[in-house]
Amino acid sequence: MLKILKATWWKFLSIPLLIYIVAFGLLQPIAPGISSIHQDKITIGEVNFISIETYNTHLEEAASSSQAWLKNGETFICGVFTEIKNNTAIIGFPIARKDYEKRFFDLIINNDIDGTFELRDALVPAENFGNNSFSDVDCKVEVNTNESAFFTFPNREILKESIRNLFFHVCMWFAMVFLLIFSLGSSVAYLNTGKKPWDTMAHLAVVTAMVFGALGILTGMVWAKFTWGAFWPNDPKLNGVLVAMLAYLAYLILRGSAKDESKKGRLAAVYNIFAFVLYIIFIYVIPKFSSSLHPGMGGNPAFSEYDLDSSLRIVFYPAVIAWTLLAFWLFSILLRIELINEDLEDQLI
Amino acid sequence: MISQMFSFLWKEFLVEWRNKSVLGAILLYAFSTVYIIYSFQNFKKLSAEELYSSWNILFWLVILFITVNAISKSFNHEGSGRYLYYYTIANPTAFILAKILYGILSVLLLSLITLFLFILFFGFPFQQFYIFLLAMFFGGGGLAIIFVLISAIASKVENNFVLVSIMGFPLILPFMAFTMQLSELSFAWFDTGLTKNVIILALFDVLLVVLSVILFPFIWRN
Repeated sequence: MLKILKATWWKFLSIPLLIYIVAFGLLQPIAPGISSIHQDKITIGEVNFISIETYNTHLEEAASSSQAWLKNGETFICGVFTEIKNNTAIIGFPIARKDYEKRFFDLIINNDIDGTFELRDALVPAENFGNNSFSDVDCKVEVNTNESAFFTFPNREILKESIRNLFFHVCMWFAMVFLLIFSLGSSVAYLNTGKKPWDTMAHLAVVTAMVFGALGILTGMVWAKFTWGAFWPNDPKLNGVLVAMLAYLAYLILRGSAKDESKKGRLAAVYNIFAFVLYIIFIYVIPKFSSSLHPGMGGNPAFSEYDLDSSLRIVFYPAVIAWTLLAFWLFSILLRIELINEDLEDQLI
Repeated sequence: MISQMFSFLWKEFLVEWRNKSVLGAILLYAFSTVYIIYSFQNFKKLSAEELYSSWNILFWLVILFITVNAISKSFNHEGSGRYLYYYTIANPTAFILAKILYGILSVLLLSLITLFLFILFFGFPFQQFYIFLLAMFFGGGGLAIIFVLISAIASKVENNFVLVSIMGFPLILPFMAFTMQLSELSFAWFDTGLTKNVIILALFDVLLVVLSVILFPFIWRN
C-alpha cells in the first residue's frame, strides 16, 4: 500500500487531467438558448410581435436560415423575423382564432449554425381576443439540422452556466466518499492486525476527506444560491451531509483526547466504523424517504437523465478521477509527514 | 452466555437500586425539564397543528437529554478495577447485551414517566395513542443502544461527558428523524406509511445491536 502511495505516476496523471477539466470545463460554451422574452402574454387573433434575447447564438450570421415557430400540442405557428441584431430578435406570429390543445405555447427557433433550441411554456394567451381573422395556415416545419455546429454543454433551464459546477461539486464529494471508504478499510485493518500505520492512515484519510467535504459544501452552496435561491435551503440531503461532517469532526476530537497510543487507535477505529455505517444511512437512505430538492433524491431526476447528449460525461468522468487522485496525493503527503514525525520521535526516545 | 447476560442485567438493577440518589436525580431532572417547558410555553395559545408539532419536538428533545444523562454514566459508576475483573471472567457479548438491555429498559421507563408528565401538564393530544407507544419503543430503544456504545467509547477517555454529546448527537439524527416521522402519525387520523416506518426503525435497531456486539470487544480490551 505504501509503495503505491509513494509512486509518482498517478500524481503526475492528475495534473494534466485537472488542467483539462478546469480549462475545458470552464471555457467550453453551453448550448444556444433563449435567455429572456420581453412579454409573456400573446393575443389570439392578432399578429403578435415578440422580442427575444438569446444566449450563445449566431442569429445574425445565420439570419438567412433562421426560422421560428410557436408550438401548442400538435399545432405549429410559423413566425417571421422582422428584426435581427446580434443575439436579439423580433419575431411576428399571426395567431389564428381557434381552440388550442394546451394553455401554454412553446417558442422554438432553428438556424443552420445553432441547430434547434426552444423555450418551453414561454407564452400564455391573454384574456382579450383580436379582431383579425386568419385562416389556419398549414405551417411547414422543415429544418436542415437540429444539432449545433459547435460542441457544447447542455443549456438547461434554471441551471444555465452553473451546469459546469458538476465537474467540481459532485466530483469533490466523490473524492471525499472514496477517502472515507479508504479510511473505513484502514480502520478495519487496524482492528484486525493492530499495526500502527493503518491507524495513522485512517486518521489522515478522514482529515483529507474533511478538506474535500468543506470544498464540496462551498461549491454546493454557490450552486444552491444560483438554482434554489438560498445558500442553505433547509433540505434533508444538505443537513445529512452537515451532520455527517460533524460526526467525523467528533472522530478527530475523540482521537485527540485519548492519551494512550493503542487505546487511541482502537477507540477511533470503532467510532469510525460506527460513524461510517450511519453516514451511509444519512446521505443515501434518508433523502430517498423524504422530499428533497437535490437531484437524484425524492423523485428528482439525477444528472444522468438531464445529460441527454452525453457531452458532460467526457469531462465528468476524468474530473472524478482527477479530484480523487488529487485527494489521495494530498493524503499521501500528510501521511509521509506524519510517518517522518513518528520516526523522529522514536529516535529522540 | 445467556445466563451470564442475565446475571449482568440483575447486577445492573442491584447497583441502580442500591444507589437510589442517581435514579432520583434523573427523575428530578425529567420533572424539572418538563416544568420549565410548561412555564415557558403557553400551550393553550397554540393552534392544533402548532400544538402537535411542538408537543412532538419538545417530547423527543426531553427524551434525548434524559437518555444522555441516564446512559452516559452506565460505564462510569463502577470503578475501573471492577471492569478489569469482569474482563477476566466474562464474555464481552453477554456484557454489552446486558448493558444494552438495561439501557433500553431504563430509557423506556423514563420515557413513560416523561410521557405521563407531558400528558399531565400539556393535555392528551393523541388520535392514535398506540403509534406513539411504538415510536417510544423503537425510537427510545435505538437511542439507548447508540448511547450505550458511545458511552463505552467515551468512558475510556478523559472529559468524557462532552465527548458523549459531540459523538452521539450527530449519530442520532437519522434515528430521530424517523422516530419523529412515526410519532407525528399518532396525532393524525390516518396511518399511511406506518408499517414502512416501523420496519425501518426496527431494522435500524437490529443494525445498531449487531454493530455494538461486533465492535464492543475492541473497546473492552485494555
